[in-house]
Amino acid sequence: MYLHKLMFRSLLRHQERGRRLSVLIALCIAAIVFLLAMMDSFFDRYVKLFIDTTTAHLAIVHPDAAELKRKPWKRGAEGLLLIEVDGDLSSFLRATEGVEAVAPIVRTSGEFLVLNGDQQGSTTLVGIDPGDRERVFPGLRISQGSERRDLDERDVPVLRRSVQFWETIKVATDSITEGDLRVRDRELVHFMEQARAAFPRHFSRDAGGDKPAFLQSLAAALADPLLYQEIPDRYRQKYDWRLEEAIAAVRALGDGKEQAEASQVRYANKQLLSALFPDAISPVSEAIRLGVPMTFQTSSPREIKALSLPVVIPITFTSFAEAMPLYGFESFMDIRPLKTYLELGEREFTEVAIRLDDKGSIDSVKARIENHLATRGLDYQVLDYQEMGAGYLPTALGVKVGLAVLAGLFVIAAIIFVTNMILLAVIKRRREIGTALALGMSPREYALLFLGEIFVIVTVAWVGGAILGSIAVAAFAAFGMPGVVFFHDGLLYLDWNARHLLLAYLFVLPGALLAALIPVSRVLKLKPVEVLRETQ
Amino acid sequence: MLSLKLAFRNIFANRQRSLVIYIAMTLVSMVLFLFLSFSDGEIENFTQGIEGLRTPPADLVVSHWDYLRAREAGEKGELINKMTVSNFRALAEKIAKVKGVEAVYPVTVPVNAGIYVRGKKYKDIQYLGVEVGNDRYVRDRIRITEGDYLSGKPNGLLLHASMKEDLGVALGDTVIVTGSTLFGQALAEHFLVEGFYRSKIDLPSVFKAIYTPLSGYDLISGYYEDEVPFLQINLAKSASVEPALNELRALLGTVDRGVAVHRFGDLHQQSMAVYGAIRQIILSITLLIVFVVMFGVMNVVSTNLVDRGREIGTYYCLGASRGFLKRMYAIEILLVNLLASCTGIAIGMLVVWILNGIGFETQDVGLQMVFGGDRLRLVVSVSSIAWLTGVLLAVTAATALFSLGGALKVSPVAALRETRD
Repeated sequence: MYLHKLMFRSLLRHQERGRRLSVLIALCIAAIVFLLAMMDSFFDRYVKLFIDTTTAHLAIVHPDAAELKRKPWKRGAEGLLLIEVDGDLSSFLRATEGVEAVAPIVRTSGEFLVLNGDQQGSTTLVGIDPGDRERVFPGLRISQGSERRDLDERDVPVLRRSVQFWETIKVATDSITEGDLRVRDRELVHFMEQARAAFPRHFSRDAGGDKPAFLQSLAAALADPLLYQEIPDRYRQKYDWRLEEAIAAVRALGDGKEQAEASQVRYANKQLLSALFPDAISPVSEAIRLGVPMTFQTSSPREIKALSLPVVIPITFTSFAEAMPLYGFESFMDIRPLKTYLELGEREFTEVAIRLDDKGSIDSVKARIENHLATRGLDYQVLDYQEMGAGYLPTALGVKVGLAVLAGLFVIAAIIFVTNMILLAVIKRRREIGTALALGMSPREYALLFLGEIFVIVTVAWVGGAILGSIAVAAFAAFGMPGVVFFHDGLLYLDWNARHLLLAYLFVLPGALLAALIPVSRVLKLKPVEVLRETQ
Repeated sequence: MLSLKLAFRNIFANRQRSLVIYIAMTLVSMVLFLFLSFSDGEIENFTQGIEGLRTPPADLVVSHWDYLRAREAGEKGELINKMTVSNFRALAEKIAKVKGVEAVYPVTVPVNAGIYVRGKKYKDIQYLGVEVGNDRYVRDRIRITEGDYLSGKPNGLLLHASMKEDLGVALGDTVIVTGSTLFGQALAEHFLVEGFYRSKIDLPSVFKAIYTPLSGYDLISGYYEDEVPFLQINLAKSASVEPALNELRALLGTVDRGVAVHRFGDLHQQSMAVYGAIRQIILSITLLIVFVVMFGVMNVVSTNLVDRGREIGTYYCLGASRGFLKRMYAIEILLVNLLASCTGIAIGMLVVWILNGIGFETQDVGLQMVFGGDRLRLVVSVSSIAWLTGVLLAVTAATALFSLGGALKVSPVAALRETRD
């Protein structure tokens, strides 16, 4: 009992040093709590994200597709690997305990093409009933517009995958600079003459023949909403659809049919000039927009020949769907028109996505479905989210390992602080130790005293660190951690968990006590006579 | 000078304490050195491995005169693909005669097309062309696992070894290359599988390119016979880039105004920027580790100095000024840290040499991505050594700045009393 008393007295006597150490350890513990919360939140939320947007909890697929899902780097042959989902299988799945929603899906890959034939990105197109989609993939973010379809329209509405950074147009579309000119030397002079001849009002001869002055005149011409009216007839004698489209677009703005902003006029005029002088001005790429008629082109699901005609589906983007940021290449369409265009039978699908009430019941539900398939003699494979998400898991694991290493570094830092503090204390308190030993206290008891002090300091620091770390976690739980590009809006929301507080304590305390044994062992070696002589 | 002499003596007088800091700093510098060597090796694996096969590093690149501008302006791939170097063989001959030029070779852009084999069609295969006989940048980077290297026949194909299993294709098979050319024209040409290869630094999960002679590549890409996207130039080691670049610009100005010569980095800024970003992340992590280490070192140093209170007191009694003692102890820490970092780097180099000698190879896709190839490679670079030494010196400076001030506040009277006996 007297050891407790001595320990608390000693702590009070050296409270200044103890407080400093407590603050340092508290900061380390706060960092550890924060890093552990970040590590688990990243992993859990990332896994949840790909379950909620892409893989669901379970999927029934063709046996050959299973190999490709488990090893996504393997190349699969063209054509769809179809399974037959009849009423019996559907009823069984829907009636299985633990199953929340079931969605038969057709998944195919292809390209989006704008009407002039230019590609506008490739995608995996998921054909799914819109109602099923909301139930099976509740994490999908529909960022713009609505997917309601006008019954009179022929174009099938598509929720396009979100626009990736490399798909955005990087050049200014409403101005002309030197970088837009495709000509030099003599060709440039020729182009200047052509432009002057076509638009004498904007390119007067006395405006100077140098390039900067010419570019200025071009920029001024872009701002003129009635520029199209000055196009000489000779340019329109031979039909050019690009030019006619550009004229129609700029006329619509210039005639006041649309409320036009200055930048819209300049953009339309740049398209016009580029169509008028295609050899001299770089064409303006078409931005990815909603409501524009276009096509989705995919290969035939069955007819595999060296050269076969693609299936072309007229579509229009009605909204953007964000599944997995960075890796999200999935767009969505109503399954009915997709199956019609692909000429698939009523029961033919590429997979069945299954969402469960609880992630914990995956193994039991999977076993039941496998049994059912086996009793019916079907060789379809049931894959869980880990197998379906084999392409995503390395990211989650990599980040987890990296953050674990960082948390480990802070544990080591805390241990170093404690070791040093004890080392310093052994040096500073030699007289005190000597007196205590002279009064009959054994070195072992004094060592225990030190360990007790560490226990108290680390525990007090843990309380402070836990509070500080929890506040930081709570702040990021409320507002999200910015810049984490793997999540929607680049925000990672942290989850507070008491386990992290406990883990921080369990990592630091035993480590500190063990590390303290090195300096404390010095006390065990102290001889009272020597210490007494020193403290004369 | 006296402070240096005393610092030396103190290191040996306090041998045990110096040894603790020395061992700790040696370990830290060794770990950081290996970490940096690993990241250097990863980048080297990428640049010399798969990236080296796709875009072999060179000194200079000849392209269409408008290529760079068109790319910057975001022109469509179809238009950019039209921007080529025509009559490249005659041009290469002239370039080869320029002083300092060691090699000139054509480099192609990958054509994404399909392959039809044994009744199945696989999409998104990358086809690359090589001028057989002038293809050291490919030959040096691959090994043939089955069959032969390209014979030069226009219909020859050299496939990545992983395709044998993935596609079920065998040596001597006739396959159909199908899809569309770089210009959107339908493509269906018969080719013959002449061999299988693996990159010496392989990354099969990412890189599955098929090679064909330039004449075959022309069929797949849609280019004319004497037309290639780029000519790359390697300079002799003794030649400097600037004079060669000027000479080549002058030559091309008279010989072919349709092309331009650039530095390799001007054309491949994007991939350079990616490697730069990876490097920045790695350096930031080392900074974070050093920051944590710095606290530890500062703690150990201040503990040592408290323990050496009598010694400090004695110096004061002998007339030493605070500035002198600060200088002396700073030199002592510097010497120990510098020696430790040198030892750490030396041991690190030894470990690098041993690990590279063992040649750890892996078939695990995750590890391959981490290594940047199918083998662990550690690379020693001057920049890493300079960075490491720099940050360790910064640790020393921070330690001297924040630890010495407080530790030297020792009263000579108290020190005298302590040292009475």
